[in-house]
Amino acid sequence: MSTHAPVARVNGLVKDFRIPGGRVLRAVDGVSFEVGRGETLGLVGESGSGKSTVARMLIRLDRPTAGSVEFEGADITALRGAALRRQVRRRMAMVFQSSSTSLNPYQRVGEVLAEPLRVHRVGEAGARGRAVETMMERVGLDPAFAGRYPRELSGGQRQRVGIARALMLDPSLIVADEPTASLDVSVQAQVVNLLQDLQRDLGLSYLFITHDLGLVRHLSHRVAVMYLGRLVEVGDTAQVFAEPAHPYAAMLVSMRRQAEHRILPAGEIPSPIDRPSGCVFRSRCPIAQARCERDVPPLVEIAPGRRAACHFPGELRPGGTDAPVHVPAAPPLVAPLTSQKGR
Amino acid sequence: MKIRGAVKTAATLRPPAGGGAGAALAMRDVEVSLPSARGSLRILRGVTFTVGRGEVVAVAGESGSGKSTSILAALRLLPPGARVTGSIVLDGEDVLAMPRRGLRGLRAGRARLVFQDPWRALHPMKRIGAQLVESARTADPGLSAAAARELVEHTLAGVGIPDPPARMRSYPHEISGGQAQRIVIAMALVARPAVLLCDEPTTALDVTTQAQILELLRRLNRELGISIVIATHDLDVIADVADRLVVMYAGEVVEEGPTAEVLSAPRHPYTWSLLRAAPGAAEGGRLRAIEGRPPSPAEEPAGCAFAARCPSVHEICTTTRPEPRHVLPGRASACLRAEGYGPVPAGGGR
Repeated sequence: MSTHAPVARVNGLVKDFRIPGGRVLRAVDGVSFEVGRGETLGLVGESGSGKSTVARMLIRLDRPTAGSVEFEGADITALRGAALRRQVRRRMAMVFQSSSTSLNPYQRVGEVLAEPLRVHRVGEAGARGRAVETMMERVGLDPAFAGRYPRELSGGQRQRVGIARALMLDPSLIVADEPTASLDVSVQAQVVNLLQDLQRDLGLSYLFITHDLGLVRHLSHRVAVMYLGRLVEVGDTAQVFAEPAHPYAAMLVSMRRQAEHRILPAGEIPSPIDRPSGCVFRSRCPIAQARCERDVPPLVEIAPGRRAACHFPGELRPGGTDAPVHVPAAPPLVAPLTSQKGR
Repeated sequence: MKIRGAVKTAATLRPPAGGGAGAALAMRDVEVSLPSARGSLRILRGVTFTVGRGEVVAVAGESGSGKSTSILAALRLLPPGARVTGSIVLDGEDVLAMPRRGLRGLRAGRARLVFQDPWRALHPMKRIGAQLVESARTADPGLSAAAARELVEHTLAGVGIPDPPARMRSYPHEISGGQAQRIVIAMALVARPAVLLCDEPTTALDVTTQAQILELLRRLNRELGISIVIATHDLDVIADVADRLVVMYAGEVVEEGPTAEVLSAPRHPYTWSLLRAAPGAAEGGRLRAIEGRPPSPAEEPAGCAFAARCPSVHEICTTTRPEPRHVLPGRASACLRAEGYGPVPAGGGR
């Protein structure tokens, strides 16, 4: 659970990309949030809303156009060279969406996992080998797989390798960008359980990017909702899903409710090149007023721990309640049986 | 409060021309095997299901379950070398006995396919209008170019594309994912199909766009009477759209029935385990993962394919292969013990 000292904080992050024709695409526009120690912050939004760009700036893969990134109490926005490697690269790691393309197909699993140690000159060869073995056991991989190539593993096993690689240098923050999007539901459940176990055992913080709302609801303590480069709502996950304040968040959470309570947005997400004036969501918002066209709504606290960027927070309410959509009754044959199979 | 996307009424869309008697799609004991370096792989193992006229049926399963293969087999679009046995009747035509020419006509007109990735279904260097006109005129060669353009314009408006004439001049890279999928659906509709086969039509899309596309499919079904088959891995997504649900596992149909009934009270342990594994179903705490993996197509389990992962496996399950059979009115399950803990039926025949 989150404590009061955040492990990472971003302030007013902005990212511009130059595009052909001398124009500028503002992918991220003034995003501020913090990730608490031992906390999972879920970051949701449509594709193109800037969530991956925010994550890349947080982990210092992209340099922000404006704004700052604080990590473990230090400003890391402009770090370079050895300081960057020591303060950032060893303490933050990323788990990628596609386990098949984020692993080198010609590298054996053992080498994949030993590489971060080698690059950062941690221990000598023997100690590294033992560390790899321990980590493989920790993520539920048979250490005998160390000699295998990624293509010899299943999707779920490859994602376990991706997670193990992220953990090799003992980081405090993991940025996970859709880590289970390419997995089947039954395998996804195994990986999600693993991530939660690791968080509990190692005190990890997660920034978890996804557009699977059920998954966010299940595993994040707090949720941040992005739309077209701006943060529109942040708050405790259960609260946001129960009583969303921003109309876009209301639409998102309504997707988890009974069909008659769903609110579908009008039209399509505008292009980030021609963003609407004022509130970026107004072109699709059912409760937009003249004011939304003029004034940019600031992200302000509307309740303790809740922030929303809307002139009329809480006015668009989805009906129904936030509840698991389908909780199946057990078939008559599924009940405790005597002798059971192993795994 | 209820807000819908800006869509005109479907009055602008014309109902399908075809639509004779019999089921829209009837698969019976369909077996598909693909050659591989180490012998043939059995991808489908005796798949039987029907899609009635005007019905929406979802074929659900995880990767490798055979849901996409079933859809491709229905149109005989399997890779070369695939061996197909059994019987497949699509819109009254015996697909396996059809000559190539007739098959092409069927695919262009009465039975259309919508793919997962709209970008790959559109030619990147041709204008959208030209592609849709081509689709309309291939289905109906008697259609004049002007009439085809008019049909395309109406259809685009009907699927909720704003300003159709402008969109027809665009190239595929100029439109968003949600619009692209609408356009691909419109491309199928201009052929006035009786059956629409969709392979994961919303997987590549965002949550809200997903809901819009499914709403569109539902509307096409209700207002035009088009029969729709949707292959999907996401049970949540199709819950409100599909009338009936066919659950597949390792190339077999394991359960079938009305969607709401199957989701609320499954009769096969796989369906139950799958529903419980979804993050939405966990009330806090851990997700209930299904341990292990499905058997590979090269393996030939002697008994039930799910036995190794089943929470209530019985000795007989490892030796006897269960056939789908009716366990309740309108409900089928391929589990030897679907009735519960009574005496286990010896043969497990249909």
